[in-house]
Amino acid sequence: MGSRIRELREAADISGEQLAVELGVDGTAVSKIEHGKRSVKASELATIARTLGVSPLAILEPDSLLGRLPVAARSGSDMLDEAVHNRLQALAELHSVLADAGITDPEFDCAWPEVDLSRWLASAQELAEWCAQRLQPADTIDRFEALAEAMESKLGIDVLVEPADSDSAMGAAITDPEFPIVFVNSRQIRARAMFTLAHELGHVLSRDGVALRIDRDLAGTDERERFANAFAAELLMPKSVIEDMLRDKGRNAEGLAAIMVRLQVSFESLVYRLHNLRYIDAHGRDQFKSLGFGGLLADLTDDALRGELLKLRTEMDTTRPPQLLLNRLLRGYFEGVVSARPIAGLLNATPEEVIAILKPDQEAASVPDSGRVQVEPLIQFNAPTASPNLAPEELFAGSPV
Amino acid sequence: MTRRVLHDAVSLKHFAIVDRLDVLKERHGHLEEPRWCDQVYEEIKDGVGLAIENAKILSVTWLGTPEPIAIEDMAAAYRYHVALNEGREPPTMHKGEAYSIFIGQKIGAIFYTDDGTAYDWALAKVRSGLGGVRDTIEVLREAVSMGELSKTEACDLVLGMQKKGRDFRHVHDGKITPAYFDP
Repeated sequence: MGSRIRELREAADISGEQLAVELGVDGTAVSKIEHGKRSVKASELATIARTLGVSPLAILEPDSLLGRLPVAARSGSDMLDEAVHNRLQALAELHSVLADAGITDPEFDCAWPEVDLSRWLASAQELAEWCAQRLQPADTIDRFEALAEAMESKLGIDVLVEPADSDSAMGAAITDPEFPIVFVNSRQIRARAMFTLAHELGHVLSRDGVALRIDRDLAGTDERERFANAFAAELLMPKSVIEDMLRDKGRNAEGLAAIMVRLQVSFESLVYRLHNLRYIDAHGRDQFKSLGFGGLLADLTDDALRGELLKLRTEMDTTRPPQLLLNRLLRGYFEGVVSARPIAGLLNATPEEVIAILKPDQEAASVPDSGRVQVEPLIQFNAPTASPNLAPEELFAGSPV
Repeated sequence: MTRRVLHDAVSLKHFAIVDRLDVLKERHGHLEEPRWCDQVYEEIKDGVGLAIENAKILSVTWLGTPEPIAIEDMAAAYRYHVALNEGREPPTMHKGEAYSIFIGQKIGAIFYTDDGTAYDWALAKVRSGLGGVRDTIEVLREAVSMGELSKTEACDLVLGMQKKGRDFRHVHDGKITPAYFDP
């Protein structure tokens, strides 16, 4: 245990003296612990784990899922993500409790195309095509929920939607195949959340060796992020659909709005997609960005379409528990493996309410503007071949949300 | 098997706040140790400056030596702590209840708690080794049935605890009269 504590302490960039202060002991005691010359009490273990930003199980069982999760950021702007990190770590701990008792998910067919990040764009396209066939997230009233439900029922990837600090991460994921789960911050507009969900799905499916990933934004800063963006764009906004709709609806504000409404994506995501499909070049993209959603709205003449578009712009403001984990927790409750509290924690209920529902005879609870730039000239300005020489890295480098 | 008991901090504080830890001593002081675990002891010790009843608990000797968690049991015991928390962040609450249930299951002890969720979970653990689970109302019913307290005394004790802000499981809401302590 001692060498593991030292390893995690060094990874967290915390000195032995700092750890000693948290433990209320002198520096030599920490040295003795790390060299196996002093035992650790359960309460000290909890303090050590909390200080290092890991689960106690990461210390006790280094080869477990909790041992593979990275330490939480403890300084700078990354601290905003600490709550998201802690939430996912706590859910992984619950998974560990259930798995240890033999309560696991049913087997899923996980044979999706292998991702090669050295050819990230082609890989993203192949994987998105596979997902489109496998998940069939076709036109539905609620495309977000349809995709989330399909991820759970067909791929065994859980989806948690709940509010986090608005300055915190838009999305995050545990990508480890033992317990894949995607988190989407509901304090973002619906259309943006849609892209976040697909982006995190891309991370999970890519199996890129990072066990837990937290995305403050979705900027294409490296090949992993560009892969996830390209995958999400391809899955949510297939080239064929964009082509058909631009042809049928016209390359104008109405056409763009119709695409956004049908695919339930944001203005920013669509502009990003038009750019990486080469309908517009970087200049066109920037002009669209300065036009903004308000500009598009101002350019519309169809009131019904404008109403649909505004719906996409409303904040999600909802909570959606991860169904696979919830089902396992319910089994665990009836088998005595977990209490009612983790279920209550996922359902935003009190434990008493959960007990009253699950055991009704036992425990009764008493308890826009600035549309100065015209859309039509912009979309007609560029043909799909407008910028044939741009590298994919440039086309996918921006932020789609 | 020798009868054993483990007390949670909540229940100990109920009796301490009305200066009647002697009721528990009478009921359990003669039983084999342990009678509480390290985590309950530490929770009470950490709150000494915040609540007068904690000092009263620490001043009694009959509770004996708190039972620690062995190093080889730490992972399993921690999973109990996780299972008794909400899962919003790594657990910090309900440590005493979780570790008491873990130890109680190993040694077949009866667990005394007034935390409704812990009580409900402990009931499920009875089929896998826990000796049983009781709350303050139930221990007072036992005391009444053994002639150690009258029904009126038991009722007055609970009303006194409530008056000092102590809570009981919701199943007892609105039912506290002397007749409620009929054995």
